[in-house]
Amino acid sequence: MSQLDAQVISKRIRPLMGMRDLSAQAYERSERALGVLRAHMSAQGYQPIDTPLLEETELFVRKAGGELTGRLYNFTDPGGTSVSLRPEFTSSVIRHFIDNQDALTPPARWQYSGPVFRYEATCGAYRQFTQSGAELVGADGQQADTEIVSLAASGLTALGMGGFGLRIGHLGVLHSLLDGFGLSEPAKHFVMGNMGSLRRGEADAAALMRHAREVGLLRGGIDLGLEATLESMSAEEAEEFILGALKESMPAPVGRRTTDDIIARLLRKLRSADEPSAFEGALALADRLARLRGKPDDALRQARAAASECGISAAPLAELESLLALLPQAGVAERQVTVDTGMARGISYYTGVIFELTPAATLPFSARGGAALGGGGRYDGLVQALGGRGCVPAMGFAYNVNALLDALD
Amino acid sequence: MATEFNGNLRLAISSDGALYEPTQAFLRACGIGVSRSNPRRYTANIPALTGVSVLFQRGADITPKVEDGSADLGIVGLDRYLEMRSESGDTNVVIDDLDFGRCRLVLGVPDSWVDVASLADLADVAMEFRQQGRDIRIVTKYPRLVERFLLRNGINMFSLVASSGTLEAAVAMGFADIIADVSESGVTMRENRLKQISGGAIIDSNACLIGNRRLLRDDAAKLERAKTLVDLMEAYLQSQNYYSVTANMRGEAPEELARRLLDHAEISGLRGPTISKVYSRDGAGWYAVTVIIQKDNLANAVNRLRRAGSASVTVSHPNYVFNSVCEAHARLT
Repeated sequence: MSQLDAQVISKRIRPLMGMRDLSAQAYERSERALGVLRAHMSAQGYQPIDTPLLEETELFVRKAGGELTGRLYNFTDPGGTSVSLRPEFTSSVIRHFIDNQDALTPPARWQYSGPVFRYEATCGAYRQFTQSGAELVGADGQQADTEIVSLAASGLTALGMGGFGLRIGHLGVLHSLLDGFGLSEPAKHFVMGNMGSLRRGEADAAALMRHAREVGLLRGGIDLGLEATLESMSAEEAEEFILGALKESMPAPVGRRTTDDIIARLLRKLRSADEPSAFEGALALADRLARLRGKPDDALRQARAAASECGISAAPLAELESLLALLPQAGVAERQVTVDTGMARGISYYTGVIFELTPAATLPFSARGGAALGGGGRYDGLVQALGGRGCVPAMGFAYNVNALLDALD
Repeated sequence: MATEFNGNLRLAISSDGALYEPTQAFLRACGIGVSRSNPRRYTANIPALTGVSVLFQRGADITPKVEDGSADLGIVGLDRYLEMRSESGDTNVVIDDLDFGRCRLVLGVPDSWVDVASLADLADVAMEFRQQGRDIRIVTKYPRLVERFLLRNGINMFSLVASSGTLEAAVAMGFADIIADVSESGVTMRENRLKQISGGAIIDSNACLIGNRRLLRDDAAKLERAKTLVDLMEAYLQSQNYYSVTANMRGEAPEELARRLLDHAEISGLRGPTISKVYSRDGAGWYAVTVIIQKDNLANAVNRLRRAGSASVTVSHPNYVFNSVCEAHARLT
């Protein structure tokens, strides 16, 4: 053996960063907790299913978006397919639903547990952790919302954990509030997508306004001086007019997008550009809501005040209010609840209520909710986005079992 | 190999590209210029530091060389390091900004895409490609950084074309739709009819010093040499922020002068003024006052010294400013 070989062989191989072994005791403890959670969910009518660890990458990137897709363990397998270790179960469970859509009578109640993988840049964070969760597919309304929140909360009680907190927000309500400003979809996306940076103080409303103008979301933002002319034209006339106007100045197209592709999209963009005043109002409201959190009554009062000060109807908040009123019957006391209108869960498929369970009712909030014991929400568009039939309502949650065990210590 | 370097500390630096000249200028400025007996030789030494060998390597090879232990230290662009490094390996960044080699890894889209101004537009276009049954193609030398960036920013449908050649032409030649490449001034992009978009900056880069912690931990002699090297680099970089200012001032006693100076933050120096007596012909009480001040504070400091009665002010540049401890030492092991 050469000296180099000896050096290579004698080097100890440790677990990868963020991955760890479970000792016999730790394994037993983890299995015991999982057993309690499984039994609890089974008793509520949630049947266990399992899905593959490895899936085609597209399953996770098509709708999950944003933060989570940036943390995928993805690679090309020996057969040349782009694959990923699952970062969560929901997308796989929905794929399972779609595969069996014809044979199923909704709603489907499923539970699952197993490891998930998320690449975390920070030292010491888990990159593999165990999730245990449930999905309720094909049921809509507040009854379904409270069923899932209640299932998640009572699971903690079954584990013997008292004093946990529930942090709750509602993306559907947020959307409806923003609808009051009559924004286009891209503008609404922009506002919602920037709530995180408003919340963390990385950007203020004025900076976002400038940015929106720069990227052509606002009328007058694309410096062609054509909007007024285009207003009075049919689509064909407008296209012809723009083609004519651009022919002189537009660089000859290179690559695979043709001039027609480019002009067609430019037209769509110009037509959907938003009124700066409405956009500014929406940003002002988003700025308030991004940082608004508190006990239910107080938070709702503040949110109503913010809406009326921004000149829009506060009616959408009634949905959140009636959901909050149902929580005590679902076994979550008011003192455990914090309303957080600016919360996001790092996954972009959520459409309605979202929530997180925290170890203590008064835990300080981290921007990303890293200390959460679990969380979930409603995601009504996912079935369709993944190729299923119709708009199937769905809601689910998952525990972070590693965080649960840490909190039980 | 092992005998050639005879236990020397091995520093890998660029033999080509944008960092080649600036790296040598930087080492000269630190007082540890490289002496290369023959421009075709890939090794050289540093006359001011015995026991150090310099290895000339292609920019793209420096990170792997330090990772696999065939060099102990390396000067490399942060962009290349982040692209190539193995997280579970033994390397880390010892000095994160050597104050040269600044550039930015950016997305470049064709000028003719007048409808694309932002990442949101690009996500939309990527979707359009997908609807037509194909993926938007992005050519880059930095597939790892670019893939993470795109996924994090909601651009989920794309295919990466890894290339080490000239990227700017790839779009005109039709084998990519957009590029992701480093740009110092943006001129090359413009010449190739590409433009940058809002939010399309992937990373800001500069030259940095990287090291192999395992190798340095295991060899006390190498570690000592590495410490001297980084001490000089850090002190040189530190000196770039300061001027040494000396003023002749009249006063009754050094203590009284010191009080006058210490009252004003802009002329009280890093720790306090050094005051020494000037033996003037007229026998009056003249003192030479020296303070070290922040570079961007020079005009204020000179004004303040004039108002405090200084007769003349000379300003010079220190070659090094050594702090009580070298911060980078801790990052060597």
